[in-house]
Amino acid sequence: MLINTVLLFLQNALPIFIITVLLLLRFSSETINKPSVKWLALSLILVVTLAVILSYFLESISQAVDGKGIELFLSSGFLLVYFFSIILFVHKNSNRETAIKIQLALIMFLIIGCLNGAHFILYFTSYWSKAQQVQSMLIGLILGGGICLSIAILFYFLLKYADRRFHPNTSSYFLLFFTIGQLMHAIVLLQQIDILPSSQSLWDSGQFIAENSELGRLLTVLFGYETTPSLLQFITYAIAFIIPVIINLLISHAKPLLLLFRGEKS
Amino acid sequence: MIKSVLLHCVQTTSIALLILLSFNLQAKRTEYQIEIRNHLFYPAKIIIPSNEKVKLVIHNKDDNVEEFDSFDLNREKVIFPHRSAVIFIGPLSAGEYSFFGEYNPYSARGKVVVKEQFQDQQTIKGEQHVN
Repeated sequence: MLINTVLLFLQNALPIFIITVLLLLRFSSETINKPSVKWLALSLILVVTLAVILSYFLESISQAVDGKGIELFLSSGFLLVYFFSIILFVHKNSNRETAIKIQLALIMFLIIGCLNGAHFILYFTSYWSKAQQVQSMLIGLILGGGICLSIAILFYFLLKYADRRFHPNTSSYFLLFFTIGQLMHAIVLLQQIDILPSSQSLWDSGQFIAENSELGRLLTVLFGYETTPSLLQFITYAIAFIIPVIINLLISHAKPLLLLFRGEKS
Repeated sequence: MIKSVLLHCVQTTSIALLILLSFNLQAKRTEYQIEIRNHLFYPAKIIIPSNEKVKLVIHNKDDNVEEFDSFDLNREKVIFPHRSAVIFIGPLSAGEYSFFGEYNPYSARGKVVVKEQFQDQQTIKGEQHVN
């Protein structure tokens, strides 16, 4: 029970910690409307409240649309998170419309928090009644929380260092990879209910990094690591990365040209 | 500008899901039934043909929530007490693919055996669970 609680905590809570770090880093360079501790605390309260409400309705959602409700619900959320991350990625160097970008970040945080949090609350409440397991669960919660917090703090400072020393947009690229990981999750869910086609896996990297290992779980959360990806997953991953990068390149190259053009006109 | 892009994102997501649902003209899949009782899978071993997508219907007869989970099959699904859930697996190459109940990983364990030469046999009789 103890190990299981720690693992479930890592699986469900780590994405919330990681998205918090990535979004904080995303807005750390903003001069106005920088997210404060108060703002973060309010968002956290909102996430917990919504996750509790969602966990209450999960059973009804699971029975909707011929038993495909949960997959459709979760994949819609993950798709939105990916789309919003494209907007944040493309506008990463712009200081305009910061308020809207913060609202988008808040929605992303709420979606990731609610979807993962509701799952964990379901597990937690399901076994709360078993008195002899409560102690193990509580220890597991503290251990899992500690591990997640440690990883998040380490990740925050590593990315901040990388932003300063290597490339100013390292954390923005990590945010994009994280949300592509969520997109991969959406694809697997849609394949699971036979809405998207499945094919045999392209390779099996399980012998190098097993998905159920600690490193495998961490990579899954960070980048959507998959030991046996299908062709559809592979193509989607590549396109999901290339498109925002191309849009970003086009915008960054178009701006100087536009300024030059306007300069010549005037 | 961002507002219009945001609206466009929500519309695109909704339309994409609607299109996916409308194209969901599923072929008839072979169906396999699994039960969860006392945190064990019955049967714990299922034999399916290779290179074919099949439908697993999992019935949770317990009073607790369980999650069907498999790293090998790349599937996970929460099954509520006294409810059933459907997942599709495959096409798979020959081999063994393990699955487990995420909330009771030490007791609820099973495997899907994929065979090239598939005989008309869906479960191995006599073997009720792997423990």
